[in-house]
Amino acid sequence: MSDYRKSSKKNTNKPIDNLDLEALARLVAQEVSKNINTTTINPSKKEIQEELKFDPTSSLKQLADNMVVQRGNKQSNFSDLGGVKETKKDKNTTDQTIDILKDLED
Amino acid sequence: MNDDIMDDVLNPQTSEVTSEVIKTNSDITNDTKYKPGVGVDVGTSNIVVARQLEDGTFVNRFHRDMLYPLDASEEAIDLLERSDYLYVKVNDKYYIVGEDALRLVNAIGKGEIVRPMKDGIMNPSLKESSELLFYIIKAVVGDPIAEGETLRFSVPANPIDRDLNNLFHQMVLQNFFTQLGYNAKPVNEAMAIAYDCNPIAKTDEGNLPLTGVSISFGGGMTNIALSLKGLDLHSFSITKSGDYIDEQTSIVTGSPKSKIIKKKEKELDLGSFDMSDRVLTALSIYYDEVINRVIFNMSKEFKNRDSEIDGEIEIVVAGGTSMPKGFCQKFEQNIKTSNFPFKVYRVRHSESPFYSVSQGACIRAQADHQKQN
Repeated sequence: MSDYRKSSKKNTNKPIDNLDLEALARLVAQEVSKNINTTTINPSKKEIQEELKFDPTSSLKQLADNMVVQRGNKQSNFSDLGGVKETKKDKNTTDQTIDILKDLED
Repeated sequence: MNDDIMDDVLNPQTSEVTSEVIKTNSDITNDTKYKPGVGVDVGTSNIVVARQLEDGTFVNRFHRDMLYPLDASEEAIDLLERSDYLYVKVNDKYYIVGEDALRLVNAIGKGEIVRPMKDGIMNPSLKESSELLFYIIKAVVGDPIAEGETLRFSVPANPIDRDLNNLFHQMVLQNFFTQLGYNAKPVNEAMAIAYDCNPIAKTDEGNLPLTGVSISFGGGMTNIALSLKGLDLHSFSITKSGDYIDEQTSIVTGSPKSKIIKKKEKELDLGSFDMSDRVLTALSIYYDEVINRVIFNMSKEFKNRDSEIDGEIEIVVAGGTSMPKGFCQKFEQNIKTSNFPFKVYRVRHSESPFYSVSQGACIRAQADHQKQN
């Protein structure tokens, strides 16, 4: 497991300031996400069934919220980015696709 | 840094790499009338944002998802002051962004470009990846044109060849876009290609729209979806794609990845290439391997799932890795000699392979807008 503290010095008594939240969030998310089962479950395995009762989504959501906390000093010399390319598309074809998609659930 | 290198760095016109900017953002005026609903392709190699005009034209804004890190030294500050490179400074490092990153690494000839994304999700080995990505996304996407404008951003399906769950990545991106003021939802990357290209299946009952196989050959991953009338029947991803081709070619030829990328984008023709050129030969061999791996895994997955579609289907292909000349012909040849479980009447390359994911996501976002209104 990689360090989640910026400093490797021992005996630091300022844990909150020194915590690298992003690295910590990653590590926890990595572990938590392993518990999300996306495969077919064999119902004869009791322990797997019990694991299904626990939904780690809320933990992941909290960790994800943490990821956009602004840390450190940042500056940039741009406000927008990117080149632009226009592509022509038949409007009727696109509209037909939209008609199909708006009737579908996610 | 010597003066010759400094000249190259400060005068990109003399450098071997040329920028591919087609228009500047200032060409897009505030009077431009977009339909509500924006699509974002958050790729490993590029971020592409699509909006559609009332006449059906898509306006795609693209940014190469690359960074060149420089320590905050006097030399670096001098370079940045004398050039017009775009950068973000995070803590004690400057990150040159986009095409400039590639141009700079080629001119300096040392160091490596880094990416905020790797294998389709945020790069875990780059500590500042989420902050850098947020900064870049904000600058490429811009503000919503209406309060709570609908937005769809592409996410990869979970890979079948690696223990990886993309839910966390998806949540972080959703938070990014929500903070920017959008009503954001994810869309599967390969399904976005289906929405843009509309594969048609030919059955006894007639033609079925949005039915077939769509494939996104990206930088970090290849995403595949089997769809029926717009429904995602089965989607998955494979992690070895464009970056794998570059890395392996770099290893066997000893050329830096930045040179490989340039050669791939400017010279590679998979139907006809100079066999005496070691880089082009290696690229062609690894392209063949990636294509065959995709066909093998698609066949296995669809057979295992007993997926069935009557009649003949169409396969639509897009993504930056599918850009070299001859790619689609090579794919079609290889699928004809494989044990693919469906009858395929055509392999069709997207009309705009680089923009297909963002356009498909935009179409889905417009459907969301119409649905909620």
